[in-house]
Amino acid sequence: MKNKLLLAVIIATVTSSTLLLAQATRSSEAQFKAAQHEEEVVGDLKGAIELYRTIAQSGDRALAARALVRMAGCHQKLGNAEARTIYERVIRDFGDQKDAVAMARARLGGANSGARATGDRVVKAGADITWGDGRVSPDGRFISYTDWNLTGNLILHDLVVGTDRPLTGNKDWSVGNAYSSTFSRDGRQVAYGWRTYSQPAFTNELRIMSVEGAGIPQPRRVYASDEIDFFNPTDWSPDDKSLAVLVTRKDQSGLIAIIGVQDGSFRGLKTVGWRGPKKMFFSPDGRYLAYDLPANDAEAQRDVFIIAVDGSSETPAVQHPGDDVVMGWSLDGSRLLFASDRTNAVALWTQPVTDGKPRGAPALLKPDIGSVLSQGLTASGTLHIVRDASTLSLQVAPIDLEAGRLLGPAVLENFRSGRPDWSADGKQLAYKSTTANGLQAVSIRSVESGRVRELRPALLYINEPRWLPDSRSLVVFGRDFKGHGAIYRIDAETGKASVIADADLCRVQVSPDGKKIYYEVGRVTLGSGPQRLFEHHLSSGDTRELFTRPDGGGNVELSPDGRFLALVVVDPKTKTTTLTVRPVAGGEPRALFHVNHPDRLEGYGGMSWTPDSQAVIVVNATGDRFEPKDLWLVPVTGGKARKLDIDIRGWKALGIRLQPDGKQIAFFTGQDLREVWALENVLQATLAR
Amino acid sequence: MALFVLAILLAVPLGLDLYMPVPEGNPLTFEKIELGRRLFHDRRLSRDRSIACASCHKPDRAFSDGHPVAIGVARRLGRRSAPPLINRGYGRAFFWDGRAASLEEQVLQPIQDRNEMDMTLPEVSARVGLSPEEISRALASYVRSILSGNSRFDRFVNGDRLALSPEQRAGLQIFRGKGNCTACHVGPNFTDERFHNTGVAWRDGRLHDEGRSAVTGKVEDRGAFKTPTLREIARTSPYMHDGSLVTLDEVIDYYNRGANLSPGLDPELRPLRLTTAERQALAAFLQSLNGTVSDGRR
Repeated sequence: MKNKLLLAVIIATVTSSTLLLAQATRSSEAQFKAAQHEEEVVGDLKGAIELYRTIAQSGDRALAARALVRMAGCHQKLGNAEARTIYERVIRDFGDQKDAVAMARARLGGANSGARATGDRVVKAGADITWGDGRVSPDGRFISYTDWNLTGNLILHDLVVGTDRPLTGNKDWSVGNAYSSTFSRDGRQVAYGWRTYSQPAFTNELRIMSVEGAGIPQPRRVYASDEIDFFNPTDWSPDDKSLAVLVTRKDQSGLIAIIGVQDGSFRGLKTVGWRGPKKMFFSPDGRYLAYDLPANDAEAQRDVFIIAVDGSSETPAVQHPGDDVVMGWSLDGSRLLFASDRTNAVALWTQPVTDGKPRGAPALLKPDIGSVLSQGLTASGTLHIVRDASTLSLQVAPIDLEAGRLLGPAVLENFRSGRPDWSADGKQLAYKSTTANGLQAVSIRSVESGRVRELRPALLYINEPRWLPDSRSLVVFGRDFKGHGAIYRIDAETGKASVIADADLCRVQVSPDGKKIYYEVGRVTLGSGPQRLFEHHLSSGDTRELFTRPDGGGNVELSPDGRFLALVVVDPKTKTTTLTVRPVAGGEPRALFHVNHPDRLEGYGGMSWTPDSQAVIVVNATGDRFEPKDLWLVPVTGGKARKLDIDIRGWKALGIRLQPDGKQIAFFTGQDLREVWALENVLQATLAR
Repeated sequence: MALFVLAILLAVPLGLDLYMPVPEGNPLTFEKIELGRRLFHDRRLSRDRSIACASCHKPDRAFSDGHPVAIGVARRLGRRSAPPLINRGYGRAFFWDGRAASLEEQVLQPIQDRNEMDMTLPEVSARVGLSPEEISRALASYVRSILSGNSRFDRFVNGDRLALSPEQRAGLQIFRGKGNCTACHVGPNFTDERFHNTGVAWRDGRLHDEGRSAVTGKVEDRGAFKTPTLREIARTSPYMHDGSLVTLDEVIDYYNRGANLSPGLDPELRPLRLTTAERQALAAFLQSLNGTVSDGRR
């Protein structure tokens, strides 16, 4: 009896200790994520250092080692010599934490040799650089990318001369756009996906064209199907006879396909989820494809796989809780290159491979490459990657609408957020954000305390959140982890998302009584086609189309009283833009104010109603890049528009929003910028190992 | 060894992936598939030698049996319907509740189930002169060879725009849109291979089958069952895990009204408000998923 009692006490003690340890681990992990948020999102390196310091004192050695590496990284960014001391401590005291030690060694080594400074360089920068959906040519002279900003053209950028050559002939976005491209192994051709805005449905094609000569080459259609939403060619086979293409089917499932360049033969190799590979690379012998996929349905983290092109086998090549993304192969095919954040900073790693299977442990090749977006390797082994260099930030400033001026300096709210929305009581500002592990979230900032809460609804994609009038929930278009789109209500406390209406990709607004939502589908969300506005009654589920507009003027903004819609109408001939209002209940639109080309009223995020629904403030932009020029207040009930005494040069017309009491204005500043980096000698380092 | 397995051994029909996951320990061979075929039809696998695997998985019914629940030895009734075995090589979990993680594991369970074949593995091993591992590998290989594809839908998707009638094309739009069917029936095999509570097990105010939760012990899995393929759907009546819905029209009506409201009902289910014409079009589209069923022969 006594023994049984003793056993029970021991079991209870062990169990409770285990539970406490588990809770402590979870708590430390949460602290770690908070510290990462402070470092990466808020940008407060000193604050992050203090948080990492606390975590480093926890009993969890793995977490402590990771925290020390991060802390050293913060010191490094601040130029503090303490970074070296901390790296050395990790190497000395945490020998059992291999990833952390490898990272510390690499950073110390990098600092000693200065190799990173001499080997890495920016070869192209701009807002028009896409997120890694282009490629570097095998000889390293060109990169291909889509000009998403202005024309939708496929661009050939000459890295030697520094020129851009359009390979497609768009004057603007009205016809179609290129989206994903890759060079043939001989460097003479490029394959790309092309979307045409035909009606009633868009069409997609896989095309190839020569990049030799000058002017606009004649493309050749390799494959087309109404049943396919996207063709993303990612690599040519070594003999240039076939293409590895990620196909998105109509049901949103993905398919890794091998498509013959000459005959358009189509082989569906493997079905993947909606979130298909970021990249796929043929092995140098052409027998295998390496690709990455999310490890599971609810996480952003990926693993790397190798599949035989004949369909005979598939093998996990890199599996780790971190985010692992394939970057390419070594020239001899003996190693796979992948980017991983397993030591928290994104680094370049190699995995030895034999006959399509991993052999041995991965090795760190280059720390802190800062991106998982590969544009491929040149034949000489220079890896090209795309990095986010955006300085876009959300600001809030006090405003006096009557006087037409700002009453004080702007305060930084957040980096890299989406369009904001004020709650009806004006106490909270909500915007789309990204979590430390790459998932999309909704952040809510308390205006009074400045505290930011992050809601993580179980959604893979989130559009622009809008508050419901009760200030306790938001509506947003979202996609779940299977890619299905719907309009969701998100609980502002719990983050729980529930479907309120099925819809294609759209932008949502809410009536002032919260009983109806309005959503726009078409050009404003899909990038093309006529724009349609729907009204949806939440209680009955009834939906009606309010109107269709053929032009590309931008968003529609619902007035706070719910009676009017403001929109910018573009005259296709003169390019004159006119701010217009139309009654929600029906009736003729009324033109209020116009500017002539090259000025342009910004309908895409450049409008906000005044709280009394009596006027609209609107950004007037100018030039090829539509830089904001001045801000106008336009009465809707008569009266003259007046220019506000606010210098908006440096603003971005991405989402201005007045607080419901009209006392503050939220807006964006900074530059949307990406950089293509060339990382030299990557392959030499690989082969030397 | 595994190289060119599918290309050589199986004629993968139009619409299916070229890659099928095959365990390294059980590569496909002609011999194993053929042995598995013989075992599949071998009544010695049941205690009274009255039934074979093929009794509940009839090749002429897309490897289903037409009964609401499986009928085993001595006319004993199983708890759930015998699902069609087509394209299971692409599966990730097996049985309605996913309690088997591989086909090798799955194929041995009906043999030992008291309500199905009611044998022990040593008994059946002695009868057929093969080890349980050999039986498992052969049966699993044969099941992997059972493929359905090349349907009118597949031909339509691959460019034959006349393969579907206008009504079927309208049904396809509903399938992908208003009907929200692709929330679960997605990909080349029309299944997400996941588990959903569609309310079918909820009747008279109580849950009649725990479903997936009996395997996982999770409350959120109560009443959840694996999404079945829709290929050959018109040939595999009755429907649902318990065979409770006899016709496709009944199934469509069930989902159109938003399913049986019940605790834990999958949030994807809600009233669809399909018109009569839309329901007919959807049923017509589902008919287009009948294709060619093959079992191991090129």
